[in-house]
Amino acid sequence: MASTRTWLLRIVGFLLVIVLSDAASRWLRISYWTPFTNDRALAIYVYQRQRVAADILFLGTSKINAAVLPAIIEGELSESLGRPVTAFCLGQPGTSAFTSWQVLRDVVASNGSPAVVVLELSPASLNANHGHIPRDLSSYCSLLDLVEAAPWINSSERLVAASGGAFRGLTTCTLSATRGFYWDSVRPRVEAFARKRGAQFGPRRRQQQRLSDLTEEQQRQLMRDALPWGRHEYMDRYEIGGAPEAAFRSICRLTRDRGIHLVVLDPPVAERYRRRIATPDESREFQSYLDHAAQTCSFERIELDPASLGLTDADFLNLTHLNWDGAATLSRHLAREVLPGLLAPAAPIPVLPESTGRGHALK
Amino acid sequence: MAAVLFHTAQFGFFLIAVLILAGALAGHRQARHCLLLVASCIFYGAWNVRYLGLILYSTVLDYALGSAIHHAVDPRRRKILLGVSVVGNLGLLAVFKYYGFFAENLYALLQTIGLHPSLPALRLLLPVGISFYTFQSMSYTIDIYRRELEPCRTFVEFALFVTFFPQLVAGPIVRARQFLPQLDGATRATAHQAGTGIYLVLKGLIKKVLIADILAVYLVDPVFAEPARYGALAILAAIYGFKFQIYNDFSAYSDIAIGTGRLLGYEFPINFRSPYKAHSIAEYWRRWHITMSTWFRDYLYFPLGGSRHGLARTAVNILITFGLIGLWHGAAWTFVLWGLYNGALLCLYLFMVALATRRGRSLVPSPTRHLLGVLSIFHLTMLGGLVFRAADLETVRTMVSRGAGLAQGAAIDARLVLLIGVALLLHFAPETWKLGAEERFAAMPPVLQGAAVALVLALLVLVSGQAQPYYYFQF
Repeated sequence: MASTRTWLLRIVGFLLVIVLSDAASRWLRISYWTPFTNDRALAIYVYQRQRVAADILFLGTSKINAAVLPAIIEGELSESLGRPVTAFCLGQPGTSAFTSWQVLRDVVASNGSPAVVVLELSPASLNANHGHIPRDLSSYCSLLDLVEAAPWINSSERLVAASGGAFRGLTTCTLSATRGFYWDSVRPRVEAFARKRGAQFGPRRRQQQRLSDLTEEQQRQLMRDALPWGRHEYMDRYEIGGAPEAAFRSICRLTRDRGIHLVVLDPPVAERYRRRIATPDESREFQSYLDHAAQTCSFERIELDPASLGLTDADFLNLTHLNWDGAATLSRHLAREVLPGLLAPAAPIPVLPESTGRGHALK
Repeated sequence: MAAVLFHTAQFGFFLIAVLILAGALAGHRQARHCLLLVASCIFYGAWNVRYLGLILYSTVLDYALGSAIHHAVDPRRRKILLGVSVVGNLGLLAVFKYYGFFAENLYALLQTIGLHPSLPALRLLLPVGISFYTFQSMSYTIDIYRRELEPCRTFVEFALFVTFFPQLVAGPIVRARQFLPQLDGATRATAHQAGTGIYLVLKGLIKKVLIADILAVYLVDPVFAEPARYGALAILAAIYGFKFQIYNDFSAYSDIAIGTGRLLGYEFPINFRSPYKAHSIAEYWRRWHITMSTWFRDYLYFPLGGSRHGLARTAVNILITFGLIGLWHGAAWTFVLWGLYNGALLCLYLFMVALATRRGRSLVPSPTRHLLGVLSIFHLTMLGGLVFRAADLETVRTMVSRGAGLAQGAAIDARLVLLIGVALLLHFAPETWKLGAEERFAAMPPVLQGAAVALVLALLVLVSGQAQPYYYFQF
């Protein structure tokens, strides 16, 4: 008969491989080697390959990737400050603050601290029941992250996702070892991310789509396509808390410890979409949370009013993402009005003891 | 659907829970059977709770009729009871699987003679595994009728036989006389069963996810969907690719089913024995989907008379059997055509054997003839596979004309051809190597077995973005 001891030994062997490979991937800093399952992770790979920290790092979702053109920001700031300035977008589509925290923590550990972190933070970013948390658990978390996130693995869906995430060290090691086999098919995407510094567009602006050019029916169709994500997937059972909120506090703590300026903003969306996406109650709860958080955490909130920036439907690719023109407008605004003060030599950056970055718990 | 797919995390958690609970109930046979029955119902119910009623219908029907047939003395009454079982089970198939097909063809037939009848439309979801569990359940009453089997003592045991989750939705088709005696035996897996069971599960997962799914998603599905877009080489690769996709997909399910059964202490019959090594069509059908072909042999071909009434009658029996084998696979003419094609090949083979016997030639082929036989059977069944896979005969025509005409068109990733090569090498590896690997794995230290499980699961996580259903689920 198969004894209990034999089964226990099998489990030990199983766990040993999982733990050792996770440790190896962390030690080798190849934790984002998942190009098949997570295309945007290639942007992180490109950034980590730079080895040095950018001056400005953008974190958030695809909205921030579409709203910012690092090349424009770099050009404007280099000219005004009289020194080279580098910027990079590391937004991960559809994620909450939970993923932004993990990305920031890992790239700070690998590349060092940027001067400024611009974090996309919308009501959805802090929803404890954000529909993409299972995906985040399976695609971004290391084994230790899963241990820390254990209190929030509270549904069968999240448990299944976390079980996939537990293998991430092993999968990334395997991918890295077999890189030669598929690298040629990944290379064009890597080069594109390097060229655009992680942004969704640019540097060229050919054949861009304008929301204003679409017919009413096409816009209605876009709304039908976008609402299931924006309204339900991200905002269902809205409640600020859980892993995303804890992650936001971790971001605040890390930026404070590292002397990084933290800027919080919510990239603009088309007006008709904004009206449908967040109820007044949710918006109030979010604003009230940020007001409260601002008392204990040090971050700068940037309110972006599309009208005062001159953004119209012609500046949107669809209901939720700016097109090249819109991104250029917003990038110039940030480069001229927001970022210079934070990058200037006289900017008051608190000098606090350095920490390793990797050891921060989601508390 | 995810919960009934063996290569998903949901099934992994389910299996772990069942193994732990079944291990805890190792000394309590009845309780263990109840647990496995409940687990099987949860497994199937995870796909569609309402369709559990269909399995219950088959189970109750055949359990009651099995007992009635056993106790009946009058041969006529026994025959009637058996008839009720057969009609009851085939009726289920007729309604849920074939109604649309028959209605459509009847309508087309009536239209040709100028009638336009209004046939009621039934929008029914094809119940997963219906062809498997109805045949399995039906074999029970037939075996009792033939006095080859005693009826099951308890309803729970019979229900467990029909619904047992490892082989419920895509086989192997287990006979009652193979399974029921095991319920009286050991109530936990032996060390050897556990070791080889893990090996078979891992082997099945690799075949399914690393070979079958990749070939399906990146080669076979796109080319068969739009053959007119692709060049001759891509079409040829897709036809070869399908040959290995379907084998690795279906045999993977059987491997995992047999492996899971062993982990729970039960043995299922083997379903595949490297079928592409066959040097004759008769041998091919002794190696491919063995439990289905033997089912049709024992319960249809032999009752029809088998090969006892001369060559012509044998040929008719073969064609009837294979026509129905085709229909069993799916309610479409392409499946029937595929079945008849295989039947015709088998008839041709039998005529050649008869001719060779009459001329006093040896039936044992020389090594060269053996190799030629393997190559020809491989390619002849591959042509059959083209008809089997194509959505309609137009697709077959397009693929043949573009493939044979060396048409230009979109190409495919060369690495897929490499994968076909790997699949080919794995398939044609000597049987001693394959069995040796299984035994060596079972003899490995348990720590290494656990490590191997982790490695294989990591590969699956890596490759499977979206779990693909097993091809044979549709049957």
